[in-house]
Amino acid sequence: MTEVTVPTELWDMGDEAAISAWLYAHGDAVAAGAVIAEIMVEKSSFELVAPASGTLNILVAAESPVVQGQTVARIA
Amino acid sequence: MTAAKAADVVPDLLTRLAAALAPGATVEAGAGQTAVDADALTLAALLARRDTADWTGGGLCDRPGDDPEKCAGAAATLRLWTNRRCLVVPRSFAQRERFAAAAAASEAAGWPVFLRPSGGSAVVHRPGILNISLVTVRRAGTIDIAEAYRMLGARIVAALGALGVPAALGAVPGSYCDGRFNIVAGGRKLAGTACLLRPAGARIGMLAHAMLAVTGDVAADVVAVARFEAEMGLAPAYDACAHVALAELVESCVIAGPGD
Repeated sequence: MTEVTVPTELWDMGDEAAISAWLYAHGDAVAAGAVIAEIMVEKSSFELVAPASGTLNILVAAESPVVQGQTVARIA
Repeated sequence: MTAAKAADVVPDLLTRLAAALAPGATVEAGAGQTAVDADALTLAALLARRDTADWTGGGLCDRPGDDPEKCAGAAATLRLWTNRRCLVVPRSFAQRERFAAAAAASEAAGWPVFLRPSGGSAVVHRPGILNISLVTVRRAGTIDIAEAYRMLGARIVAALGALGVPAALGAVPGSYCDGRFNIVAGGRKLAGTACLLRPAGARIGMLAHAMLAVTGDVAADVVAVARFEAEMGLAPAYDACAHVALAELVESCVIAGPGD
């Protein structure tokens, strides 16, 4: 089981960030390195990359706020 | 300054701004989605360069010991371009229920809608708007979003200064696609900015781009954006006076100048 986490150090802790879109659905097979979601912060889109191959288990719905370091999905 | 003199100043304004941004650079005349996609392709290409065995460029500022002063040019590419009249929205908009109908209505009104990978909300592209795209690759942890915006913003502010237009970064309440890193002149929004961040192992690629209104009717731009966003079910509340085109500022600066 590999966790997918929101990056740190790319924006200020006080900035509002949210998952703007999941590019794969819950239960989809994903390959390591694939862009699986986008995080929107400060008019910037951060491409969240799958750290491993496997089945995507989404923990945070699209358009939900997130914080740095938060686990938003797991890949099994 | 007579009206005739002022008119002489404006027609080549886009060319003059481009020259101030990057001497010798050409301005691409884009055509819709393909023109938008070119930025992300540039980012992918720059990220891939380091992966090639024959890479000798060095100094992408993504390794310990890279000298930022020496590699600043090699680490970034600057693209200047215009587009045909259209709206451009983050690609996540396409997942929303009302997107297809809103895009169709906008296209019927003369504003086709295209998708971009960066953040923000709907913006306008047209021949009188200069798009400025800065792509850079750095070692992860050596740059953040604010720095990417400042790199782009500093270049644009300097170019505007060379044209005699003082500008700064900041928010403009009432403008569409507002943010902290707009290019602001006289309290009005001259350019909007957005970023794309793409991690690639120990590196991160960043696209920071701006759409700067050089000439044309910014009030019509606001109407087009507001109409599209209303169709999307959003609640746009924009003030056309929050926006300004560079031509207006240059005319007023010249008219107010000494000797006139």
